[in-house]
Amino acid sequence: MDVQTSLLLVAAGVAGGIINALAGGATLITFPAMLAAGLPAVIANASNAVAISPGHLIAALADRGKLPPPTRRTISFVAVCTLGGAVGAGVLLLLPERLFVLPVPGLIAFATLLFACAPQIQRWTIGRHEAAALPSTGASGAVLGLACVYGGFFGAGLGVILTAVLSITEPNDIRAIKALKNLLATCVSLAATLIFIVQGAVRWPEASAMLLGAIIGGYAGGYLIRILPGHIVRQFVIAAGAVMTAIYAARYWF
Amino acid sequence: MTNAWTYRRADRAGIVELASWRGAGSLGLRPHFHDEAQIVLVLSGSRAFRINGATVTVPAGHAALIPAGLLHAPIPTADAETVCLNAYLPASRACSSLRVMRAGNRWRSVDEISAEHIREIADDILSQAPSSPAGYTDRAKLGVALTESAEPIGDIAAGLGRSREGFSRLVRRELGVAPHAFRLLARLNLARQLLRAGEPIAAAAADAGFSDQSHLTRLFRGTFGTTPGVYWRD
Repeated sequence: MDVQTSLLLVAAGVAGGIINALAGGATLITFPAMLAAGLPAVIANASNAVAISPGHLIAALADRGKLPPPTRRTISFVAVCTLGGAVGAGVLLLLPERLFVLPVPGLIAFATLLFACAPQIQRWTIGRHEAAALPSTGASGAVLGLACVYGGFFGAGLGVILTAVLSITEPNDIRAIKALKNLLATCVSLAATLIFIVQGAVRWPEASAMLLGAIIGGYAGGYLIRILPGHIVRQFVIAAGAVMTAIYAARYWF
Repeated sequence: MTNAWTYRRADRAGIVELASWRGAGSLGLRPHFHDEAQIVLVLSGSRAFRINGATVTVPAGHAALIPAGLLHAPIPTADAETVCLNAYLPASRACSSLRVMRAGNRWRSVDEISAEHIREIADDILSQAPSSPAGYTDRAKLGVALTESAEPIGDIAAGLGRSREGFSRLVRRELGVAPHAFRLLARLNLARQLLRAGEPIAAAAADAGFSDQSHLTRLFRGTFGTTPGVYWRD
């Protein structure tokens, strides 16, 4: 790996760390950076997952006081999400490269769109506060599981999806939903990265460079959150996601 | 020289030549192209190339197809142990840009890889690459104009109705190197082809327009990773 590539990956990691701390959606920056570093798409995705995995973990640890009590329901959610993440990662590794490359622009576009609609989803979440339509644990588990298969497979926008799903199934205080979301996203990313590592799909030089950046960015984000407005970071992520969609559509579809 | 590429002629249908590498990391080489399409199959460690100003990494368990005529510069990698097999295929079967795909970890050593495996990998890569021959013919035309005659660059430019500088820019954009460098690489390819056919080194050097054998040796080693002597013997 040359100096230029290392710098690109560390810089993308720093940006990703800050973005995750302030708004979420780092994958929209860091995954394209892995591709730009010259890695094949599947390896880039797996290495990216490892590099940004600490994000959810740190958030989950920071908010652990807000976690719901370990009821049967939460425990089964954790199990379902871990399994879902593992299945998603397995599908990614079993699929021929071409079948991953083709939907990549679509996946980036989907995540960008989710991200752009996050405030609406958020508002709607708060609106549901009064509603009491609680589907069965089985049905909620199935929906969560599907979301987590996507999370293990690609990962971008998982936080937004989980927040949306949880606000349907657990009409609750938003802080509790966020804490549970971070816990479940951590399970997904740990399960997926474990499979990527065991299967040798991770390129360590690139992943470590980005991981280093992400840790620095994560810490910096903790300070920047007071001075950098979250909505500007969000708009930056959405713009970047739109540009990335266009670039990868041009590269993989035409 | 302890670290070098080992070449062997592949007297099998559909494959011109094989080259293998086993060593700590891999060599950085001068930018070059081949007259054949090249399959790079990495068994362990990794290979990396600089192509069109971007870095492309080929990790273990992956194969890359570098189309004939595409300028690429192998960059040194520092992986502990790298095992790699290059196969050169006739240029008629090619795509327009570099493609990397997963080949799986089926092999431990290059000796286990048969010609059928290589053809299978080539078919796999080509089946998923959209071919766009239009860009290729433009490049090919320029390449032919530069190599088929020994006319000065300025005359070729004038023949195409361009200024020397304009022509240089065009060549650099389309072929990746300046006209003189392109000619030199084409002559290195010719020398390689002559050596492959069994021509003695001194004769190959002279026929390919190198002033002497040591001139060819220096450039050959820096570009193809071994000396003409070793290449010729193998």
